Amino acid sequence: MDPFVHLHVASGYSLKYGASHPHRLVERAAEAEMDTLALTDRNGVYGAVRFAKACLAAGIRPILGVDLAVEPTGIVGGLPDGQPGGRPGAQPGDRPGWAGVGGGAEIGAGAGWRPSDRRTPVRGGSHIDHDRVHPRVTLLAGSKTGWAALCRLVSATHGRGERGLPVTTQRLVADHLAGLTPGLDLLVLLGPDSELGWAATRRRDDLARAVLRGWRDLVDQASLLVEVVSHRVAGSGPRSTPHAARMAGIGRAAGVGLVLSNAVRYADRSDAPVVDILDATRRLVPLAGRHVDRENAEGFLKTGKEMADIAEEICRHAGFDDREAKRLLTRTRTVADICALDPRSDLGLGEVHFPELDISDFDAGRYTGQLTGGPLEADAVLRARCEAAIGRHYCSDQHAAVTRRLDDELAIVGQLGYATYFLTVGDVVDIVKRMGIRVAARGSGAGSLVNYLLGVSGVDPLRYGLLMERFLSPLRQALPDIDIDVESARRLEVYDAILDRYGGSRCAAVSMMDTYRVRHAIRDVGAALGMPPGEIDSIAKAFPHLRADQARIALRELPELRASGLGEERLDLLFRLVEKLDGLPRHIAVHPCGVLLSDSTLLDRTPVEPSFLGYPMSQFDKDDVEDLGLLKLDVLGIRMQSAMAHAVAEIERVDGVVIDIDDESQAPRDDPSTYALISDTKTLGCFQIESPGQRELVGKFAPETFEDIIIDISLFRPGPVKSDMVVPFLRARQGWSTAEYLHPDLRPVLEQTCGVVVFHEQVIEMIAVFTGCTLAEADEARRALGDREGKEEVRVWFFPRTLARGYSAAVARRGWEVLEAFASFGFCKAHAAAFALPTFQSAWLKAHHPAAFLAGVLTHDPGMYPKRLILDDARQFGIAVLPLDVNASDDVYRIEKDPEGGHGIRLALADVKGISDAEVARIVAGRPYHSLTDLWLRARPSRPVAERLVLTGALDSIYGIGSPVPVRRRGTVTRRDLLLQVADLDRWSRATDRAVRAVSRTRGSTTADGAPESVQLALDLGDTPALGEASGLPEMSGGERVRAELEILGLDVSHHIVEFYAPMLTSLGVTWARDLLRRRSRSELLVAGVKVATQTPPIRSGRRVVFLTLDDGTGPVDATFFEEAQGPYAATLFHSWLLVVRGELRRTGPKGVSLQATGCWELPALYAVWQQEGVAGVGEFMSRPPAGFGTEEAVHGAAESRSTRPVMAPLPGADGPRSGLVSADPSGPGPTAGGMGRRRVLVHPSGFRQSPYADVRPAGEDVKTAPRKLWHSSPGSSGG
Amino acid sequence: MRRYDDQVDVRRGLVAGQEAPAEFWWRGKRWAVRAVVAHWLETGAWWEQPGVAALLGVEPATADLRRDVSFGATRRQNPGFLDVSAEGELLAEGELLAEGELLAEREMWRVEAVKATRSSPYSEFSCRDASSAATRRQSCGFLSVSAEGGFGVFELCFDWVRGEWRLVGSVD
Repeated sequence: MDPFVHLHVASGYSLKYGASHPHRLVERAAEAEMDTLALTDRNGVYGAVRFAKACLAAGIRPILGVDLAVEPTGIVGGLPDGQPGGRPGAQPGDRPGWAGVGGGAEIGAGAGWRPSDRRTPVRGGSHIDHDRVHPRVTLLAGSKTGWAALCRLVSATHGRGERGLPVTTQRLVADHLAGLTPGLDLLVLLGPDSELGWAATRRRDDLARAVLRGWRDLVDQASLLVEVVSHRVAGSGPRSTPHAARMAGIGRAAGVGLVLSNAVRYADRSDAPVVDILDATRRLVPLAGRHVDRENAEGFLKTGKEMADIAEEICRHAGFDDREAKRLLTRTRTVADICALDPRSDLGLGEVHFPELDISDFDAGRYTGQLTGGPLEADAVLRARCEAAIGRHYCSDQHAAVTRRLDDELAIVGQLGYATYFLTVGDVVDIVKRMGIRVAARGSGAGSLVNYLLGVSGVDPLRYGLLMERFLSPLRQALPDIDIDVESARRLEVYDAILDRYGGSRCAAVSMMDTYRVRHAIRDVGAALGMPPGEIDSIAKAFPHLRADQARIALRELPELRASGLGEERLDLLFRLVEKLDGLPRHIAVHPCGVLLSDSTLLDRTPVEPSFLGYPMSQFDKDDVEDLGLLKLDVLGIRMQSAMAHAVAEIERVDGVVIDIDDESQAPRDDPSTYALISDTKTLGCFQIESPGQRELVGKFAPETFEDIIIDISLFRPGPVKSDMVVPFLRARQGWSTAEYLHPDLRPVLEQTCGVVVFHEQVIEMIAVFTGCTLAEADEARRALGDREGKEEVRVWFFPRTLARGYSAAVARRGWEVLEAFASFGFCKAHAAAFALPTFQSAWLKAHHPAAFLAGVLTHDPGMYPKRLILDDARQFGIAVLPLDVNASDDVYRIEKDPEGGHGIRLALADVKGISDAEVARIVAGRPYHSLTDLWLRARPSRPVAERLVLTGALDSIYGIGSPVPVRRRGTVTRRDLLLQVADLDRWSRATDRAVRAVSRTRGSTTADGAPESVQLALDLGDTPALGEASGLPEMSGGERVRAELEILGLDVSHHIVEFYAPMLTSLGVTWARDLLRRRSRSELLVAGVKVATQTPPIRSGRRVVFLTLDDGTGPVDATFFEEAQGPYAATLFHSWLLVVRGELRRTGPKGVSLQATGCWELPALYAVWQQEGVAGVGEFMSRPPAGFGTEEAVHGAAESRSTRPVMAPLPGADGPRSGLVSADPSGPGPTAGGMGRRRVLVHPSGFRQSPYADVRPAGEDVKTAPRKLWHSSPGSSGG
Repeated sequence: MRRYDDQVDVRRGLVAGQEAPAEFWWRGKRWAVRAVVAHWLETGAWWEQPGVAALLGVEPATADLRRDVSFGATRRQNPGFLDVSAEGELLAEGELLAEGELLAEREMWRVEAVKATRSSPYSEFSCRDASSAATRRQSCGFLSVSAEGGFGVFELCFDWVRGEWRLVGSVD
C-alpha cells in the first residue's frame, strides 16, 4: 500500500480547469495502491458525490475539499513580473482594479492609484484574467461538521459578489471556522497560489510572515497548514523547487505545519495538452505560451515514490536535514488520516432523508375538529384530507371499494413514513391551482389513489386499473418520484411561489452540468488552435449531436461525413483532441425541473449558488441529489399545458364561453368527434400523437376510448417490441386474429389488450395470479427480471409456486416465457394514463375549437413541427389565417371571429424577426395607427423592425394594399413606397434627435435622449416626411412576398412556397399529399415539398434509418430512408430544404401511407434543369447517380495550394483547373455560362470539402440560403 | 550564458546523495559533476509543431522543418527559437508527432562540474564546501572561472523523445 495521499486534486468538475473525470482519478489512485484520495475542485464541490461513490466502489477513502479564490489583503502588492496582484492598502471588501497584463505601469507598493485610472474591459480597456488577480486557498473537510461548514462557506462565497466569480474573504472563512474543533473539522491550506506563495515569489520573507500572522489572527494555528508543491518547473516561480523550498522554510520558521501535494489537474501525463486547451478556452484566447498555465507535464497523479523524491529535493534545497523529508510525508499522511470521510455516515450517501417538515405547514387547523385530540400527526392529516375528498370524486356505491383501497395505500404510506411527502406535494399543487395555473401529474404517481384524492393526479386509478404497488412499495427503500407538469410560460411563477412558501433554507433548485459533446469540443479546440472560424463552424455543423469520443468513429460510419472530406489525416490531431474533451463539464445551469425540499439541514448537505435568474441552485445534479437522499420534486414546464390554457382563455375572450377541460361533464372522455379526429391522423399539434410514427400507429389502431389512448401511448415503443407486441395486438384488434389467452385466469388481466402483454401492471398481476403472492412482491419480481441474475432468482421462485397453485407445467413454462420477454419491455400504465389525459384534452380542443387550439399551439410551439406546418394545418381545417396587422396583431396568436361565423387566427407580432418585447408592447399600447408616420412617431420601432413590418404587410390594411394583381392602377401606394418612407423617417428622426440633444445640452439638461415619451397622438407640425407621390415602383410579387415572410416570420403566409414550383411538379407527375391515399400500394412515385422534420430513431438492427417529413401544402408526407438509400443521398437529405423524393408507396393502415425512399434531390436544382431541358432533362438528371465531390487528386491539389481561402477543385475529365466552373459532363462542351449541370467543389485548406449542394446557385435554395431553420431535426440528424 | 547544442555522453550516478548525471564527456574532455544547482522539466509548445501548422493551412515558421520544437525555458526569452544547428531529421510535411510526443519532454540539469583527468578527479580549483544551496550558488558566481580553467556551471538536457543528452549552455 502506498502511504502517500494527494491532498490537492482538481477533476474535470473544476470547470474548464481540470482534465480528468473523478472516476479516472480514483482509478489511477487505486492502481498506485493508494488508500485515500482528496478532491478539491475549484469554486465548488460539483464532483463530490460522484467522487465519493467512485471511491466507495474502489475501496478508497475519500477526502473532500474545495479550492476557493480569496480577496487579497493587500499585504503583498502584486506578482513580480508585472502581473497584477492587488492594491496595497486596499480594503478587503472591494475588488482591485489595475492596468492589466502587459498594459500600463505596474502597480507596486506605494504607487498612486485613482479610481479614474481603472481600465475595465467594458470601457475598451484591458482583459482581466481573474486567475491572476485573486490568490487561492484550499480547504479540506475533516468530519461531518466540517463538511457542513464547508457547504455553508461555499454557499456564502457564491452569494457575495458577482455571479460566476466566487471570491471569498478571510473573514468569511474565519466565521465558518468559528465553533469548530481546530485541526479536526476544517483545515486551511496555503499553497503556491496563495498570498503566502506570492510573497515567496517576491522573496519577501517579511511579507510572508505578515500574511501568516494575518491568517493566524483569524484562524486557529492548528487548522492552518502550508502546502508545498513542486512540479520541477524552470526558474524560481510558483511550483518550482526553489519556491517550494522557500515556502517550506517560511512555514517551518513560523511553526505552521507543512504538507506536500502535487496540485493535480490531470490523471495522466498525456492529458496535458487538454489542460492547455482548457486554459485557452477559459481565457478565450488562442494557445500561446503566455496564456497557458502549464509549463511541464508534472501535475498528474504521481506515485508515492515520485512524491518522496520531490520531498527530498525540496528539503535539500531548503537546507533542511535528511529527516525533514520524512517528516513532511508523515505530516501529509496524518492530515489525510484526519480528513478521510466515510461517505455513508459523513455525507449521507445511500441514506434517505425524510423532510421533517413542520405540520403547521399543512393548513391542518381545518382538521382539528375531526380528530380526537392529541398531537396532530401527518398520517392523520393525510387521512383526513383524503377522506374529505372521496365524496367529490366517487358516487356512494363505490365508497366501499374506494375506502378499502385507500386503507391499503395509507397503510403503506404510514409504514414508509411518507405522509409528509404526499402532503407537501399536495400543498404545492394547491398553491399552483390557486394561482390559476394548469397542473397535471405525470409518471407512476398517477397510480396512487392518495394522489388522486389530494388533487395531484387527474386520472382515477380505480377506473383505469392502475396499481399503487408500481409506484410505492413497502419492499423498496427508494424515494417515490412524483412529477408535476405545469404551464411552461408560468413556470417561474410556480418556482417563486414554492420558494416563497418554504424559504431559501429549506428549498433549492437542482443544477445540471453541460458537458462537452462533439460540436462544442470542435469549436473550442479549433478556436484554441487558431483555425479560421468559418471552417470550425462548417466542421462542427457537419456532425450530428454526438458524444465527443465518437468523433472519429462517426467519420468512418456516417455517409454524409464520409463524403465531406473530414477524414483527412491532417485533421486527425483536431479529432484526437476533441475526443479527449469528451464528457468534461463545461457549464453549469439550473435544471429546468427539479426542486429540492428538505428540512432546515438542507444547506448542511449541499452548497447552493445563484443561477442566472437568481434562484438558489444546489451544486449537485439530479442523480447526485438522489444519492444523497434528498427529496426532489420535479416541476416540469410543459408547453402543451400553456397552449391549452391559452386556447381556453381565447375561447373565453372571443366567444364568452368558460370551458374547464378537466371537468368530465364539459369534455366527456367518450366524445366521438375527438376519436374521429385521432383516427383520421389529423393530429398535428396534439400532445404525444403528432409524430410520423405515432400518426401511422393511430391510423392503424383507430382508438375509440380513453383506454385505447392509454394503450396507444404504451405501444409506441422503439425497436424490438414492435413485432412481438404491436403487431399481434393490432391484428387481434382489427379482427385478423382472435385474442388468445394463456389460461382463463389471465383473461381479466389481458382482456383490455386482446391477450397481449403491454403494461407493467399486467406483468405484476400475471405474476400475482400465477404465484399467489402480493402485488408488492410481484413488483419486486418484475424489477428483478430486468437483469440476468435476478431473472434466475425469480425463475427459481416462480415455478414451484405456480405449480403448487395447480397450474400445469406447460402453462407455467409458457407463462414464464411471456414474462421473461415482456417484463422489461412493457410500459407503466400509470405513466401512460397520466400522459393520456393531456393527449385527450388536446385532441378534444382540436376537434371542437380548432382555431383557439392552434392559436395556442402557435404561441407556445410545443410540438416537433415548425410553425409553418401548423399554420398550413389550420388552413386545411378551414381556418383563415389573418395576416400581420399593426392595428390588430398582438404579442401572441389570437383568434378573431370572421363574418361567416368561423374563426381566423391572427399572426403575432412577436414572431417578427428581431423585434423586442418592449417594441411589441409599445405597438400594442399605441393603437390605432392611421399612418406609417404615426406608427413611427408613437411606437418608435427601430428601423429594421419597421422595414420588416412593412415587408410582411403589417401596414397593408392602413394603406389598402391588397394582393398583387398583374396590372395596378397608377398612383396606389405599394410596400416599396412605404419602405422608402421608412428610410426618410429614419433620417428625419436622427436629424431632429441630434438637434434636440444639442439644444438640451446647451440648456444643461441631463436626459440622454431628447424625445419625450408619449402614447398620445403626435402633434402634426407639418414637417414630418409625408408620403409623397407614389414612386411608381412595382409592388412585390407573390414570390417576393413569400420570401420576405419566410425570412421575417418563418411562415409562408400568403402562399405556400411549393406553389411556385407547381407547374414543374405537375409536368413531372409528382403526387400531392392529399392524393397519396388513392395511389396503388407498391407503386413508384415522386413527392415534393418543404422539409419539416428529420428523425433518426434507434431500430433493432442498430443501423440508422432516417425518417423524413415533407410538407407540400396539401398535407404532410412521410418518407423513410434505409441504409442502402442513404449513402449517396444523405448529404442532400440533411443539408437541403426543398426536396423531391422518389420512392415506393407502402400502405400502413386504412388511413396511413408512407414512402420507402430510393432517392432525393434538391427541388430548385431540378427546377433549373426543367426550365432548360424540360421533363426529359429532369429524368436524365435523376437517373444519374450523384457524381460525388470530385476525385482525390483534385482535392489534394486544392489542399496543397495552401491558400487561406477555399479553392475550387475540378472534376474528372475536365482539362485542368480553370476559374472553377466546369461542366459535370466530361464529354460535353466546355464551361458554359449559366445553366445546366455545373458543379463546383469547395476545398478548404485543411482538405475539408464543402458539399456542392452548399453552394449558391442560380435558382437553388439550400440550407445556407434558407431564410431560417424552418424544420425540426432530431439530435441524430446532421446539418445546421 | 553561452549557448551550445552539443551531444554529450553522460553517466548517471549519485551526486551528493541525489540521482543525477555524474560525469559527462564534452568536446573530448571528461567532466565530473560536483553539485546539482537546479533540476527542472520542460515540455514544448506543442501547438507550434509543423503538424499543427498543416492543420491550419499556414506555412510553418521556419524553412527547415526540424523535429525539435521550441521549448519553455527559451519560450520567454526566445519564442519560436528553433535549434538550427541541431542534426534533427527533417519532418515530412504533414507528419504529426505521435500522441506521447506531443509533449516532447526535456529534463534539464544545471550542474557544477570540474574537468577530470584520469588521475585526479578534481581540478586545481575546488569549490568551497558550502553547507547551503544559497551560499553554493553565490560561490559559483564569485569564482567565475572559464571552462578552460576546468570549472564551470553547465546546463545538461535529457531529451525524452530522442533519448539523448545534450549540453545546452554554460554559465561562466
